[in-house]
Amino acid sequence: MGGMTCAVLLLLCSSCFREPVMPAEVYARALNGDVFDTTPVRGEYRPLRNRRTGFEYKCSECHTDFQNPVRQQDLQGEHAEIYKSFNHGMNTRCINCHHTEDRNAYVNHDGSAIPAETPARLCAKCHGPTYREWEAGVHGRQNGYWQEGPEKPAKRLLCVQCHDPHNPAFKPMIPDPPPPYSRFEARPGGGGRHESEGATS
Amino acid sequence: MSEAIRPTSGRRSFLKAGIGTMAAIAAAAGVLEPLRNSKLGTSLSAFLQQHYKRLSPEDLDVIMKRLETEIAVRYGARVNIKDYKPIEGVEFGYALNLTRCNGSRRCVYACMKENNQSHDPGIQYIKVLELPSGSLNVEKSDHYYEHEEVPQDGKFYMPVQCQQCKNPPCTKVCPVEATWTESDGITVIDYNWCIGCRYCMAACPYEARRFNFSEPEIPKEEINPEMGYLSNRIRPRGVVEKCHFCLHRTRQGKNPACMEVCPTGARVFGNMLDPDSEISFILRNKRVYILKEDAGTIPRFFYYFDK
Ligand code: HEC
Ligand code: HEC
Ligand code: HEC
Ligand code: HEC
Repeated sequence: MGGMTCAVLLLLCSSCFREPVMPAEVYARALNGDVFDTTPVRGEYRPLRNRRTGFEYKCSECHTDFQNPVRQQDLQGEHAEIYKSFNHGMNTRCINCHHTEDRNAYVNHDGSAIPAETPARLCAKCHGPTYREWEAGVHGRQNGYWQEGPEKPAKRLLCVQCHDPHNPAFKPMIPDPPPPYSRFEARPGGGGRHESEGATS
Repeated sequence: MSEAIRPTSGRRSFLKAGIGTMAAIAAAAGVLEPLRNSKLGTSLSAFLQQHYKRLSPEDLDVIMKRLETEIAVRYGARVNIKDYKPIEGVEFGYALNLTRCNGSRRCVYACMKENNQSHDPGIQYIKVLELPSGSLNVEKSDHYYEHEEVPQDGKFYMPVQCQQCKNPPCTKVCPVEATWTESDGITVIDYNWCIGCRYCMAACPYEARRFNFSEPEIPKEEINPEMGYLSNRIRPRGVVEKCHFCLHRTRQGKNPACMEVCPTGARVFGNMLDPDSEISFILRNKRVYILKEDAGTIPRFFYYFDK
């Protein structure tokens, strides 16, 4: 039906359908840079390190030298950014996730260490159903091949490539620009470009 | 946008009344359109070319070489056109999680790039509909939304592209059989056989098909040189095109472009005949639904909500 209307309007509008439907600069915003960008929203996976401008420390480099504060608090402001933005529902304790002795690792339910290289296993301990869907390839994203084989790797994004563990809600994004206004279609609550042109001519 | 004027119902009903006769005229005009001063696919050999299914592999090789040359001349790009065949034992399915999709439109532009869609006039295979939460009335949707941020409160987003139906109305109305469904479920178009009558566009309940009004404009450096004969090769003017599940990628085992870039991971693609595939997992474990079920088209594209 829509297509039919389209064809009809086309005829009515034969004087204008040769001109570009959409000015090139509208696309520029979206087509600028790499539109086929598969980088996840939080970037490539980075190992667990304390990063400050120009420096990278292993957690153990500080956390063996001083007595950890008994209570989690912003005593010296070392991780002030994390305290400030921290928002993980009822999961409010650093040590729910970070191991208190093996400082370079995460902690499991039984107090054993989860190696920092497998952050998904940390999330698994509280998000079982989501983790299982992730394992099945249904939560999160797979890149590469649907048909797996020796030369056909599929890469599964890690939880922390999409979710900030300290503030895990998926962040809003700036949308790419809308499609060209089709002059053959009315916009709900407004009008297609065709309508406004028609009104002035 | 704001100065735009609402279409009056009078105009609408006037148009409806005229549809029968005018569609016929439009169709006739469409038939002639591609022959007029178009550049790609206008050579005499293109004109005399046979239907895809009647071409021998040798014929096809010659044709693909010719197309490569035409594109080199017209766009200044060196490209590589191949004919990708369906994989045996594969039927593709696509599922989209509407709870995840945030309307970022990343898929739309990756698709444009991958599939060499014209920048000017702009052609996009994927339309992202913005709908009020709790409603599934596609007629109430807006795909021109512009916001500082997505998702917006109280809205959800539904990307719509070709649904690769099991019972496709579009292929049945084609007067020249320029469009058909292949064994892996992908409905394809022979761009050199299509006469541009646009009957298929009228028949499609999902408005998934697009028409090239003029010679596609694509900057040389934006052209994707890996092209499939039935998929993303630069189309001549005056033919119909649409999503083909990126068959030049997917028939090599790769994921479609829209899935590769989806920032939320809302898209899952795979072989429905393989019980261990992700798509089979979804069909088993989620309450999927199809768009416009009452149209009887039996899509291979599934939507679902997560809690
Ligand atoms: C430059 C030194 C330094 C490094 C490196 C460092 N921390 Fe800390 N960390 C501190 C200080 C000081 C405190 C206590 C006050 C504060 O939070 O600012 C602290 C507190 C903490 C706390 C809360 C209290 C506790 O002991 O449970 C956690 C959790 C923590 N750090 C985790 C880490 C992790 C994980 C790393 C590695 C990525 C790391 N830290 C690296 C200095 C450091
Ligand atoms: C949900 C589990 C979880 C909780 C709770 C948590 N963290 Fe983390 N933290 C992680 C993970 C996972 C990483 C790895 C970083 C990444 O991949 O972004 C990390 C990284 C860090 C880092 C180093 C990386 C960086 O971004 O600088 C520090 C420091 C840190 N956490 C401190 C803390 C402190 C302090 C608290 C308490 C306020 C805390 N964490 C609470 C899981 C957690
Ligand atoms: C110690 C248990 C625990 C661990 C470990 C944990 N979470 Fe959570 N997470 C929670 C709780 C509790 C909530 C809040 C649920 C609620 O409020 O309904 C939550 C909520 C979330 C949410 C929803 C946030 C929102 O606002 O929508 C996300 C996403 C999430 N977690 C991701 C992660 C990721 C990724 C990891 C691994 C780095 C992780 N969680 C590790 C306990 C945990
Ligand atoms: C491709 C990005 C991506 C990856 C990877 C990913 N998630 Fe998510 N996740 C999302 C999005 C998008 C949502 C929906 C967020 C929303 O509704 O606000 C979500 C939602 C969630 C929620 C909220 C509950 C729900 O189902 O809506 C939890 C918990 C969660 N993710 C945990 C995880 C865990 C654990 C992992 C790793 C095992 C993971 N995620 C990997 C993108 C991702």
